[in-house]
Amino acid sequence: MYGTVGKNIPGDDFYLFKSCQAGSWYPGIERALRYILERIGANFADDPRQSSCTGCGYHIGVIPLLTNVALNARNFSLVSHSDKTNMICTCPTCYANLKSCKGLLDEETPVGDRAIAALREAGIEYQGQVSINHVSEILRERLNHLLARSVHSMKGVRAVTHHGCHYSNIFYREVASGNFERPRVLDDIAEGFGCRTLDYPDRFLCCGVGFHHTLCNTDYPRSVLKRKYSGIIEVNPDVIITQCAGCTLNLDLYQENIMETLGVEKDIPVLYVTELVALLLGADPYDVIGLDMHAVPVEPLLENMGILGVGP
Amino acid sequence: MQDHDRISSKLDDMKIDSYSGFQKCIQCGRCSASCPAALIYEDFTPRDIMRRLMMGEVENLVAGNEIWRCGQCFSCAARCPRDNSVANAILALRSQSLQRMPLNNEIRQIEASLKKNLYETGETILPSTLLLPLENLGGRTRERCFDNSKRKERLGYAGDTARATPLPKDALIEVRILLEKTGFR
Ligand code: SF4
Ligand code: SF4
Repeated sequence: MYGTVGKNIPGDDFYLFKSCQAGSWYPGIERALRYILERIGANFADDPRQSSCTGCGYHIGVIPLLTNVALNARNFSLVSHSDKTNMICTCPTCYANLKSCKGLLDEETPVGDRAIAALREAGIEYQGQVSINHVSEILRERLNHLLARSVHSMKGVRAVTHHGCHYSNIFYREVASGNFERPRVLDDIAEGFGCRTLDYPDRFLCCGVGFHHTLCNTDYPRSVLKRKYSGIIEVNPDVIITQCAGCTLNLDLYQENIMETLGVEKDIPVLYVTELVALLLGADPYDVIGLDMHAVPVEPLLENMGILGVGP
Repeated sequence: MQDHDRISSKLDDMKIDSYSGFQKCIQCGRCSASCPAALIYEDFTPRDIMRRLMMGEVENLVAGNEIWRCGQCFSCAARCPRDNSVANAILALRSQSLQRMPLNNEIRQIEASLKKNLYETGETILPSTLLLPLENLGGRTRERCFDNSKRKERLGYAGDTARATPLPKDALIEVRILLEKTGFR
């Protein structure tokens, strides 16, 4: 098993890096994050000038590496020129893609140098004094502050976690807790709130989003999800906790159909970690997070946690 | 010239050299054992992509369907005992394929939408480009989610946007210059 490297995780002064997938499908993921940061008194910049990291297009193969690096060199410069230097990503593809672009720029590679030259032609001087973090690492880092602010608990709730592949498998030595095979970042957060997390077969397996597959070849997501859900059903959790908008979409939207195929009658709500933590901190499920946008009903879980109706 | 140098120059992508590591593959098959695509598609295994690269079969790979099977999960990279990344090799091959081949209509359509999105909004994936085939969703899901763009508006996001505040005009101009200067227009 590969060792993991220690990691410095900042606790404050964040630059929100907005994700196209989260904003398109579950804007509550970002709204919940803002709610949490405000609640724990963390500083953050919300800069509309940031462009997409283009990671999704890059992994499909349609966005060239040079374009990807150049646009992110611009994003890094924006961060450096703001008064915040710690990027906070809700999307693991943003997280890994930004880290990989920053590596190519810092190591003065040919593609990095060409990207910096293009930036100069656009009138921008490259600056890259930034740190790149995934939101779940930050929440884990600030767990005590979150717990101090919480108004609900997860006692009696049984959960499985699903960490996005681009969080665990690309910079696989840099998983903030556990290791790539068994990441525990989400488990640590949920357990902090009194939840019991369960191990399950095929925990390592991806959600099957597969980038272009999701757009034009749904055999791929559906086959992978059948395996993923077969493992999850075995341990019968009350909730699936995620840290990627794409995984959330795939696990949530296809769930009904996959369960039908597997001949199982069961709803397992899928919650992105910021949605869950914001709820525990007292956010309104609908006005703040828009949980009515989820395909699998979340209400039974909310009732179970005493957030709606009469609690246990 | 070594075989692998020839391959690198053909693919013109530094990630094939510095990240894929195909020249040090020992054909152990750990990548294939953890690959979801290899389980689904009979004609695809990551180990075989590495073998064919070592044999110099770039032309066949670039022209073939196999490189489009991968779902970019990087399980292969995390599991490889030699620190190789088949996923990165595949990205270099895909990029060449798109530069050289008139193939693959669906991928071309995605390319066209993403170009348009990036140029017009600075975003890559927008709801209108990410349409899931409705026939694969359950009945209740279709019913519950058909109105989601209205709910997005309630949360302060317009229907076909990815963020509450669009890119300001001067920022969009910078993005467009970079798209042009890096040949993605
Ligand atoms: S795991 Fe690595 S060394 Fe083994 S076959 Fe795959 S690429 Fe080659
Ligand atoms: S990245 Fe591609 S080749 Fe590698 S394991 Fe995932 S699907 Fe297979």
